[in-house]
Amino acid sequence: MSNPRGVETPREGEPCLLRAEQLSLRLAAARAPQSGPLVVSAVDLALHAGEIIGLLGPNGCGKTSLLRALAGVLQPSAGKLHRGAGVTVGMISQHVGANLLPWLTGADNVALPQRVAGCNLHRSRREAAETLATLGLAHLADRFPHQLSGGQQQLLALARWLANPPHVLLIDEGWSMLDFVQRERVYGYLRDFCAGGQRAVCLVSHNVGELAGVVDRACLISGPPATIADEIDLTQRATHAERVDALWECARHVYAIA
Amino acid sequence: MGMRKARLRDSLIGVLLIGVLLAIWETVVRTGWISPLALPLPTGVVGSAAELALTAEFWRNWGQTLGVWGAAFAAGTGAGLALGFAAGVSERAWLILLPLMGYLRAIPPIALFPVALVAIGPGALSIGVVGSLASALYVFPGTADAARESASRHRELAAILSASKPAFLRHFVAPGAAVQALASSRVSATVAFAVCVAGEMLIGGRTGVGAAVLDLSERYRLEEAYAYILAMGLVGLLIDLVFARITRLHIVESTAIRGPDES
Repeated sequence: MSNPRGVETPREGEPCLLRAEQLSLRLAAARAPQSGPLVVSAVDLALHAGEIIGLLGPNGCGKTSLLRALAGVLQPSAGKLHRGAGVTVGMISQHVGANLLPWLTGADNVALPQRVAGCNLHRSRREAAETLATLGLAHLADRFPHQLSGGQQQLLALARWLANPPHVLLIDEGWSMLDFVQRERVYGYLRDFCAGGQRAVCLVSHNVGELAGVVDRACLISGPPATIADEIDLTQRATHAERVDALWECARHVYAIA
Repeated sequence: MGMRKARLRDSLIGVLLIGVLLAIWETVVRTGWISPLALPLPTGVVGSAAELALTAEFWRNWGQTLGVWGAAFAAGTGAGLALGFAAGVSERAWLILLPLMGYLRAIPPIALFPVALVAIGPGALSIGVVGSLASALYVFPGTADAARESASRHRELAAILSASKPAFLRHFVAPGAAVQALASSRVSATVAFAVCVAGEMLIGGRTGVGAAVLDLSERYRLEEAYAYILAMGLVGLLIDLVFARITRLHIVESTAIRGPDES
């Protein structure tokens, strides 16, 4: 399946899980829903099975709005969003509190997708506890969100989707509060998540070093309204330093950084 | 001093204040500042209460009142909660119900007794209908506001999890609004109790504690009338304490509004 923008991607041969075609998004205005500000403009983006892609851009350029549109939370005002048959999408919000329900314990928050789907309470709790134990987070199972640090809450939000893996996981600055040790672990979890060739991850970040460490492909977003200004394949760069350099070079060009 | 001891001390101060009020009452009547013909001695009232507690009529009256109150509260609060949650999750229900419920709530429930008397007739059914309406009107706004806030806060997560409408209500809206709904139910329980007692005085015939107070006052048996009134205070306090306990348990369990741990 070809990329609608005509850009070669490292996973062209893999099934396309999610594809945006000329996707545009207006924020609904109270009095005139069709004439709100344009926050995403004609974005073409394809997520293939097995890849991790990154959306890099400055504050307020529309990365989050684009991600919410990809998640299906916001309806595009123009263009199309194609989801493969049976493809499920999960999302981690940049607002830490929005990911967890404050009245549920860590284990119950991780088990929430199963509970919403109508699964047995005890079974879903047991499976959530097993996932937390596997991730070394068993001590968070019985604690409520307000008893956790921001980083621990972000880990729980990720644990939810690792316990109930969707085909596409969208992460909006999902580890801004994690320490460097946890970040390295999270990179590993995400690589494992995609390693089977069935799933894809799309990350939003404005941290070049962070993205270069984990993504296969980076889309450089400019805006508002958000548009893909450039795209770079990082799989061909052998070392982390080369990946960072390549992404920095691309970012300097797009964002006119001296 | 530990938290538990401090709480016990504060509760004891609250009970002591009731004792102080009774002592002041006793003093002003004994010293003649207020005539015992207008206000009986509290010791006499307590003695009458002890005697009344041994009569079947006292318990029959309380059974009648609490039965009507329980039915009115259950029906009214159930309806108020259902409408409140509906208004919380549905913009259309919100727009339809808010002005209607606000309009009805502005009418004092007691003003509806003459209407109920004409439409249904005197007795427990009329009292129950007005009591349940009052209960529903008082539980609705707090529940609707809390459900709306909870729905708005968690709608995106529910959408990402592809929650159906019933699942959205069950897993996201209801738990988020539960504390406020319980607090509204607590107010509604007290309002329904007051409305039921007033109804017994106005259109209840000769049954229930409200009718008993009216009857005893008309016959100038003030000590017994006050004994019923003191018992009403106790029952009202018990209802309030039960709801306070349930609400506190829920808050402790959910910790949704408790804030960071002090430890």
